[in-house]
Amino acid sequence: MVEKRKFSFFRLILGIWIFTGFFVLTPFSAKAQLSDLVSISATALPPPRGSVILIPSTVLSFSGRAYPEGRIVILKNGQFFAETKANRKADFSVSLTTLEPNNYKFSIYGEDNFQRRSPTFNFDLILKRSVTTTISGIFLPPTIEVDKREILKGEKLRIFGQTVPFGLVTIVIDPTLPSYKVSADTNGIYQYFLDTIELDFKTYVPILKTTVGVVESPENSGGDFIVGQKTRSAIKTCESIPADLNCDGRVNLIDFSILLFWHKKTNFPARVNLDGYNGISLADLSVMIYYWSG
Amino acid sequence: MRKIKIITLILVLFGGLRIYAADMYFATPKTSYGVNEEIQVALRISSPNEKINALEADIIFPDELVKFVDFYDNNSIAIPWWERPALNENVIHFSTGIVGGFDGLIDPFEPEKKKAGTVANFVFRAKNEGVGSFEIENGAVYLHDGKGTLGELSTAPLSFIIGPAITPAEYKLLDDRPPEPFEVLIDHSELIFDNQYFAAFQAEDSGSGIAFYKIKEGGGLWLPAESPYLLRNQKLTSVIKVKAVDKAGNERVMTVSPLTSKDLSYLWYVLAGLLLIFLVHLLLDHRRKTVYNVNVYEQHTRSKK
Repeated sequence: MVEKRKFSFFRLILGIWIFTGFFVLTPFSAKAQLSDLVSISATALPPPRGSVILIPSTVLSFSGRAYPEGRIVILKNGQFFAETKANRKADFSVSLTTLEPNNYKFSIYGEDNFQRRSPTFNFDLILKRSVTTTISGIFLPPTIEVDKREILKGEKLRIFGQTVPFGLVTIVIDPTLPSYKVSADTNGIYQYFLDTIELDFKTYVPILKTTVGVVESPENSGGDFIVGQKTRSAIKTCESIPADLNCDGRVNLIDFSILLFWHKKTNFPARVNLDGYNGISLADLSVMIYYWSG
Repeated sequence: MRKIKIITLILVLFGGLRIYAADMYFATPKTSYGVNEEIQVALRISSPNEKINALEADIIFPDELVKFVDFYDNNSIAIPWWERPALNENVIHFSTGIVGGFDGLIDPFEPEKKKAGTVANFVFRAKNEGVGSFEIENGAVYLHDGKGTLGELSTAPLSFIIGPAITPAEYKLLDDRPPEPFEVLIDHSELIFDNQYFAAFQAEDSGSGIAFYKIKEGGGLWLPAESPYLLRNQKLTSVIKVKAVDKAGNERVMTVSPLTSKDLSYLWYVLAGLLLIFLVHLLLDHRRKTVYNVNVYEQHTRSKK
């Protein structure tokens, strides 16, 4: 009888491990699956033959889909490094050949035909001599804009942006509501008129992704709006990006320099205090890095 | 028995499955040294479960056994430094951001396995025999969530033994490459230097790391500089040069014309205006000449009559 109870106790322990393993650790696996679209591979160059001495080179190439004739920007360790342009089908490909073997952080983002930006995707890479590293299958999610910052309940909100030509854009306004689908045109431009009559009085942050066949882009969220008692147009202000201290639409070395200047000083401007707590500290830098665009 | 079960249950729930955001630890090729020998210690961070974007720590070392020599950040994930490693008695303090966040390095030959990143390589020299350890105190990591949230950090010390004196192998820093080209940005903001123009810059060097910067405005002298640097010539009429020097003495000079693209666009307007004036002048001149020619023709006709 006692043995039976002992057995059930250890089974309980085992159950807790399995339960925790499944429900706690699974989100991390899911995160990894989100980037499964992107393939990272390496090809080592063969050793030189005969008397011809080849200078070994380190090559890194990126390819994927963005926006028709959109700008693709590559940052190296947070600073601008290269840019290219997608073709009319939104495909892009770029090879970087002037790199030294080392560990680097490469970031890539796209800008559509209306200067709207995609989220930034980061890759911490170990680049080796005589090795070509290829990152393919990048699929930048749709850009997002809304025409109103606040909308009177019952009016229609225009959600628009750009993606790949004929891509099917899925729009999720709230996880409890059904999603909406809209097809992009030949230029990848999409728009959806959202009826707000069924929405609650609160702030919504749309989440969008594009599907082409069986391939899905990662998600992009943005264009938040409030369903309220009045309608206000969406106007981009300096505060649109919290860490954009010099209001140039980018978060880069200039903003970092401003923040660093106020480190350990007392009479700092309120706008510099990014985490809202006392003093300019590493926590403020953490907030700034989250919004870093290079 | 019941108590043991409860304790085991608590340990299972809150102990065994505790997941830290990051682990900070030391890595060395060996742990046994002789007096006078150089000790190279890499400070590593791994963060497989959550993305982090800032970290800080104090490295404590037994100064009766070892002497701090230098640090190298040539293969560091620490970009940008918030406080570069600085020595205070037997404590080296640093804090840094990790632009783009960090959850592990990707080796393209094994992309599924994320590897720990190096924050910095610290170099010490053994000075006395004994047993000691490098320790990490006041360590903190921040999550890449845009809120400045502190993550949980586990740290581990590293023990070492220093034996009798040996003739140390000479380590020579092999770096003959200059720092990589870098951006020099000129801007002004009401949030800094009373809205005066300043330069911001940050270079990288894959060989030995950046040692220092110098700046030169126009025909002036090379002056030691740190970013952000308040420009002396606020009229922005001189060319600005920033020199980054690595720890092996290699240099990279970047030159920037203070005229921004915004200014250049104004310049285009000015040029377009001048062109317009010139065209109007040409047109008027042409009309004047036409009228003159008509008059001449009329006079000529009249004189013929």
